[in-house]
Amino acid sequence: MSEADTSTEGGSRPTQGPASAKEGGSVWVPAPRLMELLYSEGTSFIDHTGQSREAVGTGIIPIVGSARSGKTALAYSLIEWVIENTNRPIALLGLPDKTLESIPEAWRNRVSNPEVEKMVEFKRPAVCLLDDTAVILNSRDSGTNFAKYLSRIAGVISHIGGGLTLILTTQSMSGIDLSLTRYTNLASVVRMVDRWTLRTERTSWVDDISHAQNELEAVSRMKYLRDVYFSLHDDLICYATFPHFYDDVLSRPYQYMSKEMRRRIILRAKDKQKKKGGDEDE
Amino acid sequence: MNSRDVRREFDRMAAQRMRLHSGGVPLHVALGGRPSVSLRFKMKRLGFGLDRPEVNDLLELVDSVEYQKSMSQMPMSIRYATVSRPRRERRVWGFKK
Repeated sequence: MSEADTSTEGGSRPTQGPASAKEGGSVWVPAPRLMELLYSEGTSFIDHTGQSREAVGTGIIPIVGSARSGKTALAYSLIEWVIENTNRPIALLGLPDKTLESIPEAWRNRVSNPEVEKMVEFKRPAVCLLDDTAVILNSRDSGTNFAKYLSRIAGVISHIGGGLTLILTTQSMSGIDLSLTRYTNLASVVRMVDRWTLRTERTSWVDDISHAQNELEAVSRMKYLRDVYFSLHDDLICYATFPHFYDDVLSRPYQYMSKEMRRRIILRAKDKQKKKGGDEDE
Repeated sequence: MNSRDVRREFDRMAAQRMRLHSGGVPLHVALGGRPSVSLRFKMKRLGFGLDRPEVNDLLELVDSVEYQKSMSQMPMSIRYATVSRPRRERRVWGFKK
């Protein structure tokens, strides 16, 4: 792909690597569909076609990509954009306290890390991050109390706190309970996906993800295609940025969780103990 | 000439070109039919270099006629696919001044 084959919206293309949010006088903006869900409800903005759009301010943003493709980094770029362009609070759902130490100090009054179950009590239209969703929201576990709780929330996500926006990162859409993507506004984002994993991807997503891979591969200049992502709803290739504060704690939060918390989330010790009444997980 | 004969003729042309490729017709030239090959050999025999402008014009004309003739036997989808057209620019979104 030559330089002449791509055109950049309102700014120069970064020469290598994911650009920072402010690149040579240009400011990074998410894909138009993402802005629709991330801006506060009613905010107007101009999309890539030059048309004016009005934000709905609520919905679900699934970010799909293989391990180390930059899903969580993109999620934090979106959070940074929300902090700078809206007054919406941020909730890092179920993440350890240590993650709060990694985010910029100036944001700490806007960012919290409540338990996922607290989501229903939110009083303001927060933007929530659920990292590596498949671990805690696998469709195979759709019968668990926790998954049931989240699928019910999806149905009324626009009612809670005036409208929540939920950012999910996942390695495969087949790992996410369908009910989460059935009821509300979606803004699906695709990063690099290992084509072998498409064999087990949910059938309804395979064509879209495959199309996204072709588009990303055509313009990317980085290993693992980390400089770009694809917005399925806009059918648009977009540049990704790399947050300046991003570190290993934010990148691999499960590594920094307490042993008990990790056991509860990953091994579902609590659920199994309740169900079988035994100590199979010991 | 039925399709089997046409295929045989093209095979023969291909074989000739393979045999003559050093000093013969360059292998990458796409030919629509026998006259394109014959004319090249004829020009060589007459001692005209294929890179001369007047020879080049003549070859282009014959190639074009043969190409059109060949395309007229192709399905509509192939004819459509071979029409050259400007390539769609890939729009990449992400930065605003």
